[in-house]
Amino acid sequence: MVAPELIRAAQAGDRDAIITLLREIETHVYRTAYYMLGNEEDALDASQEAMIRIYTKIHTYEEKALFKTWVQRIVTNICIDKFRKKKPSVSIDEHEMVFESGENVEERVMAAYIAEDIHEAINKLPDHHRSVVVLRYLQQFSYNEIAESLDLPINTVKSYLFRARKQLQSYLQDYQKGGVRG
Amino acid sequence: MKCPEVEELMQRHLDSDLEEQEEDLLLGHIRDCPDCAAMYERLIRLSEDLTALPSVSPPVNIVDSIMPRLDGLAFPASDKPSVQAVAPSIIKDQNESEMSAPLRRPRKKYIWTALSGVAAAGLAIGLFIFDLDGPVTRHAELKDSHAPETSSSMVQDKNTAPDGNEAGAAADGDPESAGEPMGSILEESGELAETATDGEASLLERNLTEDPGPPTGDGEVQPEELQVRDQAGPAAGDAVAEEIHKEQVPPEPEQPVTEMAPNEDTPVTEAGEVPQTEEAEAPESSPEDQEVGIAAGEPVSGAEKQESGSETPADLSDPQYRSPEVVYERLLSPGNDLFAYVNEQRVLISSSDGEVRFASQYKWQPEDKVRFVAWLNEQELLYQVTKESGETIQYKVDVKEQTETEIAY
Repeated sequence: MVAPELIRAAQAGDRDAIITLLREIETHVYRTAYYMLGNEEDALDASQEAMIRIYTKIHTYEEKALFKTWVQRIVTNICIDKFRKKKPSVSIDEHEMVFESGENVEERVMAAYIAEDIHEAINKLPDHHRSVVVLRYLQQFSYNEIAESLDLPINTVKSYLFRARKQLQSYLQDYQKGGVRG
Repeated sequence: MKCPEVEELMQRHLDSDLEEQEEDLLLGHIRDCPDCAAMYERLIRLSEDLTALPSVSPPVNIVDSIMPRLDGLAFPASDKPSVQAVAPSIIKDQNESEMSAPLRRPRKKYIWTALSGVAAAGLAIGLFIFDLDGPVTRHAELKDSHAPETSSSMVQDKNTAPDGNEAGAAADGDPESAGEPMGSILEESGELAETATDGEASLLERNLTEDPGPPTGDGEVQPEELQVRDQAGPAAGDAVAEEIHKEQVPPEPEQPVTEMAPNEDTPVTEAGEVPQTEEAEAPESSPEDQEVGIAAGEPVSGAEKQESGSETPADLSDPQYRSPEVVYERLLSPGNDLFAYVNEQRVLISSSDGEVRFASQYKWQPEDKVRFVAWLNEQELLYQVTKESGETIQYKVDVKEQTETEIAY
């Protein structure tokens, strides 16, 4: 969590504070962008744009909203714009994926395949469904926080999330038929 | 319960959104409905897999990569009208308050901040040097006379928008910034020199290849300029080492690199006064100069070493830039296309046009000494870090592969 004092200092015009703040949120911004856009290059591009926008708009953040949802709103908006303009490509092996699950090689390989499958499946989702999934699973946002970030009613958030999950498990069932999943 | 309703329960269950009775309902139904049980299992598994998605991190330091662009933007944005310090625009009109924008930036070790600020200031300085008599002396005088007030004025500078006037008005209140031009230029390590004639952010390129700035423009005040430089430590051409020094050392509030900009607005008024006080001031300038020159107390020896090495444009192939004694430096690649340097205690490699090509994952302590050993070729760099304890670690960076590995020392 970014310290409120840091945010306030940044809003007051302290450039060191805004730079520090940007460094603190950098990974979260990138993570969302990566899963939204599906590849490293686009993610970096979008992240840079998001960071610059945060830098220039920090004074518009109002404390009544959570800072993290404000940040994620900016990122998801930029990403949605981006992938409406360009069809993202999936390249999951760009990143040295460190899989938390799986002690042994076999499990890790499986995890890698699964992640790849899921990543591909996520990329098939329409933008808002994708945003909801990304915020829920990569940022661990609650329904409310997702609603705040995407500026959607909470019921719509649930609807998108549930539909997305259903769609994903359906895609994965298809992969399963021809793939490695057990 | 009907299956579609149960499905919603399943979904909410994945988000821990169910009440206890709802959980019971869900499990009760699943027990008797194989289809729903299968769906439930698939959803659970999906949710687990989604949860297990790798928490990726950016492959490069994003903030560092946008620093040049951030430097071109006023901060805070929008509240301060017309104070958009965009380097290119400075070229067009260097006398406007835009120049004061850089003032607000603290003299932190942001090479990019320095660059863009320098772009603005450098151009102004370059022009002044060409147009005014005794610009150098003015700098010296201002610098000297403002030492004590540095911090207070710094703070002011930091927080005020159109600093141009304030700086001007309080020429005295504008501490280092006033006298800073030289100092900061020097600190900027030659890049300033470059920017004098090249008001673009890509002055880095120039820095590496030539030093057309102050030196060439200072024909008539050559001796004094050198004197100031000497005192200040790093000569304009020694940007390299100095810059690193600057980067390595904790920021000294009273030494805003970009502060010099606004001073350009008050030259005329100062010029008259300068000559008179210059001599008197000069002798006193050394302590500050060293301070200024070394961007906050870096070993003077380091600065002097560099400085003595060249009053001429930074010659990065000069052995002094790779000498073992020089701890902080920036190292140019064999093809002159990339250079390694340290920024905020992190090793970075940039191309000559200023674009960051590699950012180390390691952030060192101020007391750690980073030393660039050599470029093995155009893409691999060796550097060492000697910690306060004396332990030395060696790394090999591959800019192309974007790797940084520890290798035996």
